Amino acid sequence: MKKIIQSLMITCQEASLLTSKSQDNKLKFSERFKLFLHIKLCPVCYAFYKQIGILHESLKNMFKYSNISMSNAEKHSLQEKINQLVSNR
Amino acid sequence: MEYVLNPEKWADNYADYLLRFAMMRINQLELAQDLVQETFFSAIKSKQQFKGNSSEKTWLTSILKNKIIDEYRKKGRKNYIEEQELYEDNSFLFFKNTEGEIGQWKENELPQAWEKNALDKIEEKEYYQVLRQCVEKLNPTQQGLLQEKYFEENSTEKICKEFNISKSNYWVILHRINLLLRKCIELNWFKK
Repeated sequence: MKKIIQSLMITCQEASLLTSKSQDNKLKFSERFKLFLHIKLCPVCYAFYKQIGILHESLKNMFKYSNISMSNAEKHSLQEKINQLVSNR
Repeated sequence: MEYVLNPEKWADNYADYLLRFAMMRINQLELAQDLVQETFFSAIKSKQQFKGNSSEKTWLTSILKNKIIDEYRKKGRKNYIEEQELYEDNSFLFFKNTEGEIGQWKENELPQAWEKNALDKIEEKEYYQVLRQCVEKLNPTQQGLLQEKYFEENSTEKICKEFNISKSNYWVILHRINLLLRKCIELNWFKK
């Protein structure tokens, strides 16, 4: 019995690694069980888990809402250069 | 499915995408614009190398990636993918490694409680300036991995293939990125 319990207990370092892995929904059943057992018992790792969720969301936003773009005039002149190169070949 | 090239539509279809891609890695508008233009020119010149087994977009992106790598080289920055740096282990910075305490958070690295409205605060524009600065402190490989994951939205499998790493290495690298970024935004934004 003691052995079974020991096999389910993981360190904070391991729990934080599983937290990162959980972002992509790639946890095996046993890993998910160990992670949730750990964060149930460890408030610090629970906070870490929540914060990594927030980080994950905001990274998605940061990369998605990049609003840099070329003006139509820039695109037009770029396209002309491309066309010229195509017809020259 | 066989893909074909339609260079007469390139500027409309891909200029913005490629420009954003370049800006993520090289935060200088003029240089990024030049690289996009050069990407299209190189693509025309090496048209016959396009085999039609990947999309136009993927092909153009890979050309741009190489140009960005060259840019890094020119500036004497570290190689885009350098094995040593890829496996750089920073977990010892965060966790104890002493007998009886292995894997516990170091006292001064303990994640702190964030404000209750932390989720609302990621709606603010200023937050993304802070986050961007934090991302820029990562090494080029780590930044490249984030870009593949969040900007290109590539699958874990595809990223592993591209970086030539195993999945378990991928998790370890992602984990280190998370540890560093979490700390950085805590210090610069969420600190109570």
